Amino acid sequence: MTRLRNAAAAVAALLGPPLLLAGCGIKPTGVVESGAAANVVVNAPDRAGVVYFVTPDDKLVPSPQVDSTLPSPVGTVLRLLSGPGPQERAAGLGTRLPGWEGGAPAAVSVSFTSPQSIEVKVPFTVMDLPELAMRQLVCTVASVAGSEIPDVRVTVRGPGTTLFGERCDIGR
Amino acid sequence: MRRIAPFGLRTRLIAAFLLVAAISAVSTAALTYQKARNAILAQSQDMAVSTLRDQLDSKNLRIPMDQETLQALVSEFAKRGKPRPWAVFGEYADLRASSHINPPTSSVVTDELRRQVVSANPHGAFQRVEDASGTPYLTVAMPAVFTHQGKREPTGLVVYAVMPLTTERETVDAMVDAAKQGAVPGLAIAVVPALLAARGVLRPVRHMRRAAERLGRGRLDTRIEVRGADELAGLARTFNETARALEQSVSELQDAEVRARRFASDVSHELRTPLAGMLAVTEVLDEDAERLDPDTAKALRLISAETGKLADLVEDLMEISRFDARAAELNLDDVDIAVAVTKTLERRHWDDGRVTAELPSGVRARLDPRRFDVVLANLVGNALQHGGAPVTVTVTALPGPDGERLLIEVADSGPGIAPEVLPHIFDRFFKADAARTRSAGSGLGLAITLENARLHGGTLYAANGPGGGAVLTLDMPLEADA
Repeated sequence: MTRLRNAAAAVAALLGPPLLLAGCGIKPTGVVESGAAANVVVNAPDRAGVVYFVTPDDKLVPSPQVDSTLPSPVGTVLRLLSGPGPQERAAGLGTRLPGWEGGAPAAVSVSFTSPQSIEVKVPFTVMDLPELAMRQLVCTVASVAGSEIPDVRVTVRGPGTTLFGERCDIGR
Repeated sequence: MRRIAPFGLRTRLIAAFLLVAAISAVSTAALTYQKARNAILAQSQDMAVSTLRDQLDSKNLRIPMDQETLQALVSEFAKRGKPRPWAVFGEYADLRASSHINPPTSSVVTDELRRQVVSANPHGAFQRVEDASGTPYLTVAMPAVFTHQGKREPTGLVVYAVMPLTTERETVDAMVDAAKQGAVPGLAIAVVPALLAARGVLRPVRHMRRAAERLGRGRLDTRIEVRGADELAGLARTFNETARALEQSVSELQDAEVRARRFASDVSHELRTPLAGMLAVTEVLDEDAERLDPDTAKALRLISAETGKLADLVEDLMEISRFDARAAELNLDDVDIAVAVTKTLERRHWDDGRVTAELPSGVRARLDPRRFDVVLANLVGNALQHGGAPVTVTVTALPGPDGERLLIEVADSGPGIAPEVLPHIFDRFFKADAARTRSAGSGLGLAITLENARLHGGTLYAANGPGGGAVLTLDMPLEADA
């Protein structure tokens, strides 16, 4: 019994200090979140919608409306459909939505169907749209809804197909 | 005298002290070190993260960004690194900008960190990394968000700051060095109280051992100084009490023995005077015995003979009492040993062939001639009486470790001495044959012989010879000391 206790004490005495010293030096860590992100000021009217384009690594990047005139919701969607401008393209932004070479603007419409939902009508099939393209469209449309509607649902109506209750996952 | 035992008390105490000191020093150092290091690193990290955030915060940005704006932003941030200069990298969509000419992207920013800050709800983040050469870096990622319609949305811009942590590493290493330098003298100092403690324990133990040894040698008045009130002092007190009790018992026994011896001595003294008178009377009566009738004459001769034996016994008793009282003295003289032996045999009329002597010529010994005569006469007489003729007396002088020794062997031709009797034949009044309670001798002869031999610094051995007879050997120094 005493022997056992002595042995345990000896082991503790021998192992303790090295274990304590094992964390010597500056060791690499994993990623540690530390505080909020930086809040920058973008010179864009708050009421205006935001158009979302796609980075080369498949992330959505906002492109706020910076014109002084307040565009209509349809105008915002039209800007998305007409693809990135020269400045966006210079930054490497692109779109996954099908090209829309100056078709009739009447084919596009945005309307509130209820206080919580908004409907967009587009002139192309939405059934086969890639997920990223869908997110581009939904988030752009959701951005024109304004801050009064906190959790907006978007109905996307294309020729032949309608997708209900889409939501934008960007922004808090 | 002072041995260092491998697992002695001293070694164990020192080892225990060193162990305790080492554990406490190392634990303290390790805990202090960990806390201090974490504090240093946390301070640097927090400052770097908040500095980068503060710089990016409230910045007026035009998005989508172009290369020039991004480059300008990065260059501006690079000038204001805190707590130390840093390199700043900007990433926006396809655009890459660096505060240094080369490379446009950092080699130490991990994909893990990049993934973390481009989520839908990004936060600032940092990561400590090491480059290929082992240099530690702090990488901070700060995504930029903007508020749109009350919601915070990522702009797609992320600014990375990369700061080497070499200064922090030096500070941390300095702490380790300080801990090491502090621990070694601490351990050395711990040896001092260990030695003191060992001394405090070992000194009483050493005293006690010496006292016990003295006690074992017969110094019953040995006592230990009792110091303090600890367990060792209690042990010393117990030792003293035991020694005192032992001394008392022994002195009582000695007193009793002294009284008994004095009684024997007194009795023999008191008996001597009336016995002398009786001897004188029996001698006179012996001369007149022929004129008495035969029965009376026989009785008279018996009384005379028994009175003579009684006188001999009293003489022997007085002699042994003198030995017991240590009143026996040696009257040393230089004698030729062959002459002394021959004289003894002649005086007892043993030169009639019953006793043969092998004597070296010219060996001179320093001894008490009267006592030597008694010893030899006793041995030879004993051999004749209990063993049987012929008796051989062999005298040799041998060199020994403490000077030359005189060996006198008296061998008889009798049946020898029984092994169970052998250890007792020098005891007083010991009778080899229990049935034969009455013998010619007083029963003190061999005891007196042994005392005489001892007085000369010698001793007596009894053994059985190869031929079957008893061999008694007197072994004494050739030159006895008074």
